[in-house]
Amino acid sequence: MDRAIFLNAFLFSPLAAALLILLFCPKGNPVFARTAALLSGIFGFVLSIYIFTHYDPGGSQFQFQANANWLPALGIGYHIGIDGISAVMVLLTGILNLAAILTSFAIKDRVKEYFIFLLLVEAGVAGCFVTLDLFFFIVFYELASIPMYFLIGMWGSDGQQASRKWVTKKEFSALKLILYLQLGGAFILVSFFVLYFFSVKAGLPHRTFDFVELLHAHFSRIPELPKILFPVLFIAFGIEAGLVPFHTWLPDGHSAAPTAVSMLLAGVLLKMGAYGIIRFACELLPSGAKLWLPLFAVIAVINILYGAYCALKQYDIKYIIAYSSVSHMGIVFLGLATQNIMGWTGALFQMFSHGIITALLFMIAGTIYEKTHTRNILKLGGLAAKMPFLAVTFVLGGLASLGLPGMSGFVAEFLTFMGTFGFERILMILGLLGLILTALYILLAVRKIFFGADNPSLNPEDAHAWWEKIPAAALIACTLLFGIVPGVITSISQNSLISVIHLMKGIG
Amino acid sequence: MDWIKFAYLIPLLPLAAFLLIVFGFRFFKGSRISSYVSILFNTASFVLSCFVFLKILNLEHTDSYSGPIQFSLSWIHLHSVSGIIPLHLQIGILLDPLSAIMALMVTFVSTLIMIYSIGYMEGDPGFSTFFSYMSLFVMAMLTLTLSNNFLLTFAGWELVGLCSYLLIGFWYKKPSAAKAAIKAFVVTRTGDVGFLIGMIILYWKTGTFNFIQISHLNLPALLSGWLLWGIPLLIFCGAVGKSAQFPLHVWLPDAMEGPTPVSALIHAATMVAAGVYLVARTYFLFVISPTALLVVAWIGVFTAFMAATMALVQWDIKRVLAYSTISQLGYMMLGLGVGPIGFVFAIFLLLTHAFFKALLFLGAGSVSHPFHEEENPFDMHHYGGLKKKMPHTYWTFLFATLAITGCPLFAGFFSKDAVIDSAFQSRILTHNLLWGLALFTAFLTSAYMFRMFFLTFHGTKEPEHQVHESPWVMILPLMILAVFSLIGGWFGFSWYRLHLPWHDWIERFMNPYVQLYHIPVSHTIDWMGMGLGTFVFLAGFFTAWVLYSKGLRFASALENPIIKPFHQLFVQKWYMDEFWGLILSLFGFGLSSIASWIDTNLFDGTVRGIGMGTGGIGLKIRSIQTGFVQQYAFIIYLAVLILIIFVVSGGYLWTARFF
Repeated sequence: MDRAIFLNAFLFSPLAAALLILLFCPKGNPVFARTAALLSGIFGFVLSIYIFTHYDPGGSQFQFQANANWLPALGIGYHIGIDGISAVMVLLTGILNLAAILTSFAIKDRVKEYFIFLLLVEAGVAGCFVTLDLFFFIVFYELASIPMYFLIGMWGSDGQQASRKWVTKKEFSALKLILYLQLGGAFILVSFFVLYFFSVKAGLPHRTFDFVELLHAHFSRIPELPKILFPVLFIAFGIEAGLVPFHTWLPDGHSAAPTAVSMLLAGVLLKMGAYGIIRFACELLPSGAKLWLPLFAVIAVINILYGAYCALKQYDIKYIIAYSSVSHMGIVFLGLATQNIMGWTGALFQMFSHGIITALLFMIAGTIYEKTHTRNILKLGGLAAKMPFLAVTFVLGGLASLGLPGMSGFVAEFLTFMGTFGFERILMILGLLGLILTALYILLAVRKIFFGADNPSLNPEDAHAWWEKIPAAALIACTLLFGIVPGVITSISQNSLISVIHLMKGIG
Repeated sequence: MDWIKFAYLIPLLPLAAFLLIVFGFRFFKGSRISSYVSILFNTASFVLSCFVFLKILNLEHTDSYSGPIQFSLSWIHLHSVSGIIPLHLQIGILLDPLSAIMALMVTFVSTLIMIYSIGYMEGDPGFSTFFSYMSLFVMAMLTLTLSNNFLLTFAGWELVGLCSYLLIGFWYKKPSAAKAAIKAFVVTRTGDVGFLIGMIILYWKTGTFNFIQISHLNLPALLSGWLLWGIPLLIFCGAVGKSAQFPLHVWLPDAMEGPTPVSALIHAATMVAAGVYLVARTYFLFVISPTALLVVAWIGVFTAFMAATMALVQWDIKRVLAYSTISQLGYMMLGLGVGPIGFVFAIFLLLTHAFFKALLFLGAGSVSHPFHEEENPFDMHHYGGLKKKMPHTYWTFLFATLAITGCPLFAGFFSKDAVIDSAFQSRILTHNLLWGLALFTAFLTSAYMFRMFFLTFHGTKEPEHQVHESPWVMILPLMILAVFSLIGGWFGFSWYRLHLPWHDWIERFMNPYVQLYHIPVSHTIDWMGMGLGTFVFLAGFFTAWVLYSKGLRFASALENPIIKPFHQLFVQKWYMDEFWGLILSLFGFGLSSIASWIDTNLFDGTVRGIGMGTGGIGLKIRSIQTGFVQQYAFIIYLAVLILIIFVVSGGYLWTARFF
């Protein structure tokens, strides 16, 4: 119980900072807001490392637990705790929250409001990963998604998708994003209510939203329930994770968002969807998962190839990265669909790795936009000589993204495809073809942005203060670290993943 | 003393050089220090490789030889869950004759090329970057070489590809260099996907990636049906990409956009030979399947032939050499493909080829040095009559040319002709055809090499430029390599009886493989093979001499209606670039346009249409009932989603049959 203080602190430090800024930050004084946010970011980062390293993979199923009654009459409690899966996500959140805050220092306009919204998103995301209560999950989910609307609508930028004739306004993108996320949220809410109301019928003594108690329920006793509810939950979470064909909010939303918000959107918000699929859809409805996952495996491969093909056509850097997210989230779906330990470890690894890599790429795209005032790769070119630091980081991020050994993306893809072979070999072969496409669109983008003759119309300077280089360098260090020593993550997550797989296989 | 454990330092030393240069970049910039760092660490790595080589050589001569030495670290371990095999991935190194001799060659050649590069890259703004990439490359190549399992080999494999990409695109401001870099990476990656598939299947069938463990298994029993030939051929896909074999050879000629030392090291001596090395490393998979061997042999010999025809008509000296590399790699594949009888010869050719081909490229670099202001300094139209101006380059280049064309006593005579001869002696299906085509290609080799040689150094043309000999730092490596181009072959086989005390080193050294694969070693002198080899060498030489030694005398022959279509075919590179361009525009950009259209019009269009419709309805309803448009949109989205789920779940019954 005493260790729970760390998890509580991790969850509440962004909220506390947001509150501080709201109450005490004088208008027009960005320093206060930045300092408060930065301190909470550093604090959360240190805590996430502490929590990750002190999680005992051989210990009890949920650790760092805190459980307090909140509305006992309705079976709602403030219950938090982490297992090996959420431990990895906590680490990711800790890293990316800090990186996003550092990147946000470039915001010059209405700094106070900006940081309040940003910190609320961060708190919501952290909450989603640590909560063990379904009701509170919904609360945190809304907390993470609603401020996005304001962040994009107010601080975002317009973008243009390749095959569209019109410019997509940021307000439009924000609306689209929030509608989609709310749509997913509504389905999640309905599904959670169904679980709540059926929990007694499934063998629990009373109705509850508590996840740990629901784990002991046997929803398969109600024959139709897992069959109907699993796909609903999968799609609801899938909307958030960029499942084709419900992904169209993703490219617009990511591209319109300010840099730090793109990083959080692609880095952790997409992972919330995938995490929800593991935690709630698969773990609570294992019999539904077993039935439905093969179909979703097909959609996953479509995700991989379709996302890659769309990315190949784009010319806005942010759209390229956004569609590459669609493609890479397909690998997560595919890994989950395999229902074996290799695929699941691969999927979790991909969630972590893609979070880091895509945040890095969005960060660099943001800097390019800031310095050159365009994101159109047809107008860019020859930037490598003028912006060597950005060129190196973007190339490294791109290489990580296309799965170069030695970087985290390779481990994730390799494990996923290893697992996929044990599940369905045709899907593995089709999915692997995506690797060629990924290499193609990433290297083409690198060439068009950084290589080639000097473009005299662009006059950026690569003036980076040393602290401006830290976030990019740190994220690269992360992909290298976990690419070279992947055992750090796999050993933490292994037992928790195995227990979910056992549930699906109907063992123990 | 068990110092051999320190063998893991062989790849780590160049890595240390890379890191030192990258993190000390600020201080090294504009000085030669980075090159000294690279060369120093590389030399250390070379010395260590020498020790390992000698140790293994000695071990084999004693009775205590107990097979290959290897040590591993655990990398990822996943337990077995519900009947699925556990995943135990390791990283480790394997020291056996094959890896030891390869590591020796790689460190030796790379050190020489780095020394040469001090002169060649002098004054380039990317001097330090260049040496950091070179060190990274050597690290990756040695990882690939010394790895004891498929996974680490694959990692090294991809990393050498990365270095190749970076170094081809080294002068990234040139659009052609930037394009060539992408082409190299994507084309080789296409082959790598096959490699990866083969690797994964093999793991699921054997439960390990370790080469030695797999080779001890009863593979024919484990791999049933198509897997028996399917797995080796999938792995061969990787080799086809990396070693530029038909049909994935198209990237290598374009790769000549990189600096010349890169062409020498990566695109001639080491990385492109990695494919051959991979096949040799995993030969236990190939020997059990005659089908796989036959495919390897035919791909090899056809590549050798096709590349030789293209080399005949090139005017860019580096491209001639590039096609010649492809052709020689084809010979190596042929040697492996004809069965165990050619195994040792293929490796022998790989090693000797590294010397003379690196020398040829470095020589070409030296030749082009005075022409660097030209648009294409490698265009042979500028050359001619350089013999007197560049005596050192001339003589070393001549040695290399004699070596590659198979002049008696030079390296190629022992290695390349042995490969051709093994095709003749093998019992593989169609071995006579393979041998005939290989022999004819040897004639072409001699012809195109001497064509290039005469066009460059002979003739009466007076060079327009102030031609001078290159600095000593460039000439010295040329001379060392020239010596090895001559004596490299003398380490060969007792079979020739023309022997020196170390005449059977290769054979003795490769003894474990000779035993493992039951390689028959013939000890009779094959006069016919030697005679034919010498004959085609002379024939090619005289053909080139007649046509080119006095300038272009028979250019009008190209208008001949019989020769012209062939000439056209060769100049157009057998239209392979067009072929791949078509594939790329169909399956790459074509499908991408379709996907993008679907995205905008179908998926997004539907949603948008609903949104607009809702907006319209909402405006009308608003007069009756106030409400937010979003709410209505929301309800309709729900309806559509339910509809989609309904359709999908109906469809599920249908798709379920496939699982």
